[in-house]
Amino acid sequence: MIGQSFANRWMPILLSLPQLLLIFIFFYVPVYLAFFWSLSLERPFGGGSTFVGLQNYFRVLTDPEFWISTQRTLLFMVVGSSLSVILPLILALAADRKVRLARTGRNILVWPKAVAGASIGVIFVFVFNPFLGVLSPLNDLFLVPGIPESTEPTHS
Amino acid sequence: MTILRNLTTASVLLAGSSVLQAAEIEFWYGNTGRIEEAIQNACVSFNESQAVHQVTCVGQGGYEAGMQKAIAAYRSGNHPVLIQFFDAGTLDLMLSDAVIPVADILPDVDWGDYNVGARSYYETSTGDLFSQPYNGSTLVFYANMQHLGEVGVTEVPGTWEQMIDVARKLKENGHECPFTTDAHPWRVLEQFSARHGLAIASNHNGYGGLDAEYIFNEGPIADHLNNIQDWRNEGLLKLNADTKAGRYADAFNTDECAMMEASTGSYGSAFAALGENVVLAMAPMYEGFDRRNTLIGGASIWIMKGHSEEDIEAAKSFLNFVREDDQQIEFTRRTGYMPVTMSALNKLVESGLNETLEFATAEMGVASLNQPGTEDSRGIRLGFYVQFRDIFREETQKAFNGEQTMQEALDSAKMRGDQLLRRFEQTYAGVQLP
Repeated sequence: MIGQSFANRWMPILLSLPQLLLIFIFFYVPVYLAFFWSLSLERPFGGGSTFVGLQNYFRVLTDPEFWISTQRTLLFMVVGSSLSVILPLILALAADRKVRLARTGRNILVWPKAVAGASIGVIFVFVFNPFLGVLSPLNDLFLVPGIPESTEPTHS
Repeated sequence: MTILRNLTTASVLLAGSSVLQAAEIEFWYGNTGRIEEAIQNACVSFNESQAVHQVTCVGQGGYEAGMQKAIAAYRSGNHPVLIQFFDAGTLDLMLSDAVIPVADILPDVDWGDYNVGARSYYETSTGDLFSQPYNGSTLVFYANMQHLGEVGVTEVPGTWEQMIDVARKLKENGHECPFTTDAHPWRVLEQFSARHGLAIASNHNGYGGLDAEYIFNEGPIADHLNNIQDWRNEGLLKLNADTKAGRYADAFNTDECAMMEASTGSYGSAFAALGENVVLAMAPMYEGFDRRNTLIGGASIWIMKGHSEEDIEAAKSFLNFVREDDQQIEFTRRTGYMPVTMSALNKLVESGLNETLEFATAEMGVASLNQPGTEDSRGIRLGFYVQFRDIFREETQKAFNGEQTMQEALDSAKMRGDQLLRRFEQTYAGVQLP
């Protein structure tokens, strides 16, 4: 039996206690509070809370915006995650086989790994910059008049 | 007797020391760019002007972000003493029970000196200011006279009808961007309806109680939004994403667009970029309407609850400092925001500086705020209004995208906005408007 490997029977509990405590504080408590709050209308700055039963759920589930964004999320999940698994798999297999250019291909695939993701992000912000970017003409291919713009922080 | 005298002396000393008690407090603000620099400059001047208190000014990267951080900070007890909140958050904050009205903390200040537009937006129904107006802006019209001159126009258009005439002339002359706006509700909904004497919601925009409903989806406001869409289709108007610069104000400043409707707070950068080519006018009216006051935009400073007396003393002295005429004038010079008190404006006018281009917004803006008002041009007293602005943008953007008609957009913005108002009413059930 596993328990017998510890001299003291409290030892395993003691050792796992910090982790359990963390899970309790950062997972169970917030989940419980979130569920509790979902049944009430809470004043943003505190100081008052009204119990409203399932009204919040009803509101969200009857909101067309909610269903539109759910639809888009699902679509993204299916298309995005399947592409990000299938394409790399094909590339990896190709790089691993003794096909022509496999060595070159492998190098090209490995290069970006040497650079941190954040730096790549910064570089591509410049590369695709609408005014200055080397690849900015690419934007014109996808240009739809009046693409929804982001809200600016200061309006007045 | 000696003991008594000693005690008295001691208590006097104690009282004296508590007055001089130094406090270090924080002031949170949302602005960025040139305006942030001006705020930081005000903080440095305050700290140098006296040796007792120290104010640390912390930028939050935006008005909305600042509001969210303040809510989180208040709930965890780490909130600053002073915080700048923007116009749209006014009712949420008034009912929050997290702030103390400035008029209660500083009863000796002549609050009546603040201009009418600023007072009606931030005061209670009994006329006490809840917060101290700080960076006051309003909507004005900008024209690049160099562009207008090319088609023989020498005066800034005063009505929408004239504006569109000029825009057509520019377009015929090959101009690609006669007029630009971002169609933000502050511009096309709030400021538009206030100066035309129209309400966007019943109960005089909510001043009459929490059971208000949105009513902007029909009548002149709806007509105006339909016009914006038609003008855009005609090639007379560009929105942010249509411009090369990506933002309407940048498009104006980089010489791409000839005219724009924008906050007085945009003047600083416009003047820096285009100099005397920029000429201002009050925002255009439709013919047949009497001009009413525009609303004060920008933000005001609130005192948050739950701080020590020393902290409040420091807050008071900072508020008094930024209210000084010279400080307001310096802030106006750096930003294009307007002096918010009449004494500061008068001092500016007496000094003759108002004639200089740098201060072009001051009199124009205050004059626009001081136009005769109606019950519907006092301000906006609608709950969760910050969220409503997002809804309005979302729906109208869908219309600009061609996903729905403008009328459908306005109807569904009204419907979703009303749901927000009902939720706000229910959240604050039994609470009276201050």
